[in-house]
Amino acid sequence: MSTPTTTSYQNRQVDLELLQSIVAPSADAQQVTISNLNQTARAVTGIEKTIQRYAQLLLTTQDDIYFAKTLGGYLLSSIMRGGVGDQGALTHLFCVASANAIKTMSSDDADTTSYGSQPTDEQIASAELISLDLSPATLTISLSVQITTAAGSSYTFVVPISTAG
Amino acid sequence: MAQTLQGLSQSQYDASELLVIDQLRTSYPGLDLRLGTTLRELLVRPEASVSAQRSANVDELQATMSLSVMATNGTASAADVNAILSNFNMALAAGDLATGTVMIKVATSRIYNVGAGSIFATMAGLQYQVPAAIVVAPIPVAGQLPLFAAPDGTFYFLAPVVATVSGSVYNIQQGTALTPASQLFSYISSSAYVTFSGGTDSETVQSAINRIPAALSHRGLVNKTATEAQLRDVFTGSGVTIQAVSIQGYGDAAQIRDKHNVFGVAVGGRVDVYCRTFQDPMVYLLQKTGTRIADGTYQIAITAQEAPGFYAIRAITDVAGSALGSYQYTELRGTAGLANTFHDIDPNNAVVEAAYTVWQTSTITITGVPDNATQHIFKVEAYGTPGIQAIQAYMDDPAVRPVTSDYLVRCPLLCLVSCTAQVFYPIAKPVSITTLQVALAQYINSRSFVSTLTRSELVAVMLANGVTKINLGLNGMTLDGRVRGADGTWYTLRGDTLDIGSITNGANLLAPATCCFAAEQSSINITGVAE
Repeated sequence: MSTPTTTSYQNRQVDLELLQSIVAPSADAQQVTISNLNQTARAVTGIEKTIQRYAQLLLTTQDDIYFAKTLGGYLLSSIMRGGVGDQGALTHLFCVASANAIKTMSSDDADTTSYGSQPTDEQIASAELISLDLSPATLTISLSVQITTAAGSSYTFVVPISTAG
Repeated sequence: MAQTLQGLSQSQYDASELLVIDQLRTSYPGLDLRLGTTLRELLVRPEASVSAQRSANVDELQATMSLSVMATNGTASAADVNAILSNFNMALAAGDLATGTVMIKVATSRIYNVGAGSIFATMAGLQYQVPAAIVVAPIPVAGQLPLFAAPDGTFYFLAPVVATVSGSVYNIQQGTALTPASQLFSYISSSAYVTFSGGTDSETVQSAINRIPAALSHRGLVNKTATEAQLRDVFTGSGVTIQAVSIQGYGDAAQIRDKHNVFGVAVGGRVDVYCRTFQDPMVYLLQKTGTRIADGTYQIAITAQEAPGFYAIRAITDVAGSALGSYQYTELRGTAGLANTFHDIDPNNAVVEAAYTVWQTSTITITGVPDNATQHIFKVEAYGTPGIQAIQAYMDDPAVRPVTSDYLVRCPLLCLVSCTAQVFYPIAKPVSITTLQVALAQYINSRSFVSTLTRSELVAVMLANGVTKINLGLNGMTLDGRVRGADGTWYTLRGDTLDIGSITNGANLLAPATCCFAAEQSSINITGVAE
């Protein structure tokens, strides 16, 4: 029988909320969407902050940011280019981009001099691709990813890949 | 020019980003600014980009506000330098074209026509052109150049050429092979007849800084700075490039004409102006017909107009020869035309007081010539300062000259430097000995009227050109200099420092303010050792 615990989020470093409107498309996964500009900005911390940070790095395309050319991977750009033919290719692209994102996050988490200390429940330990759905017929791609923090807590979410124009 | 984002380096951006993060964290420690956060991407990154651009613009502005900073950095564009120099009514001086004479050997005796613009080029690609069309004939008439017979049965003629581009690199050594770009009938070979001279690089920022006092000065023949300012103003763009001016006036060590009175005390109004109008040593080339005065002994006379104000003989050889050596000679300087000038020159000391001026003449006796013909043609090379006649004529102009003054223009006394050195360099990064020779010669020739030249200065030049070690031991690097006093005495300097001050002799016009150090590439001998 586990003992209920509470976590204090006071005095934590916060970020602007980018991913919000968490809904439940299925019983075992959460979906996050990108904030609209007309929504009131909110601060975010804890694992939600970690998830949106991971998602942002995962979806960043290498060479896109002028002074951070090595940041990210080629997941989103390959999908948009139509260069993903099967699940194997998609899995490969995800693994490369995810590994880069985790490496970047871990590096910054360890740099307490520049950024201050990071609680373990905000430090990413791993990201696992739980499931992926590639449907050329309906032109949809869905990636379910389970994030695990250094504190041991996990969270599964659907990567917000927009198919809009 | 304002910086764009693309013009920024990664390190400039990174430094700016760190600064923005530090500043934000100082005021708002509760913000997470790690890579991937929204704050980092939407707030820090744009601000860091703008801040980096702003910093770069400020850096660039600071780097182009000061001439001394631009001289040290060496990265400012000529436009940036000129923007500041314009405040002083100045601009960087452009380089000058080297000039020289090409000896062209041909197999046939006949008339040759060489068109204007005909190109001759060295193996290294340096190009020279014939400035005006020339006609060469075995028996020349007016306006034609002579075709000479060489001892080996061939024929040759001498064509004046000028470099197509300015720069001291065009001052090629005597004997350097040149190839014509167009065909010439019965052509055999061509080469530099004398060491080319007059080619100078564009002015350095430091040199421009040194000129500012003269540029700001009142122009007029009233004091040292104003006189230099006046000369630079008048002769800029005239074909006479004034590199440096030094003046010996009332009370100065090498001013001897101001004591022409019964008391022997100095009075004002007598001014000797030493004009350096060359960078690398400039050589007058003369073909002189010697008259036999004894077996193997000939005599030639150099008039005041042939080599005006020349400093010293460089070499005397046969007319078709190369001055790797020289005939032995003795020289007797004289004067001509003093009776027709107002200048205060003591007839009893005329040789010294008119030395290196346009009134100087010379009679040279050449010995050891393997010939007993009545006449023998010699090639005479003499160091001089081009434009001295024009400068003297300008200063003698009644409309220019203060009526109570007596300005005499002289060629600077050249301390002719020779240097030997054993240098070491990495076997993986070999050093060009020629490059070292050129760099050393350029350094020595780029200085104006200074008192000393030291081994350490030359060591610094060599180290800056890829040398890792220099042998400064007993038989390692040597430095020698020779200066000719006005009475014909040669003074020798040797050692760690060539100090003109140590041989100052006002009666012989020898003083730091009258001497320039000068070196030819051929007088710098370097042995390179790869290790």
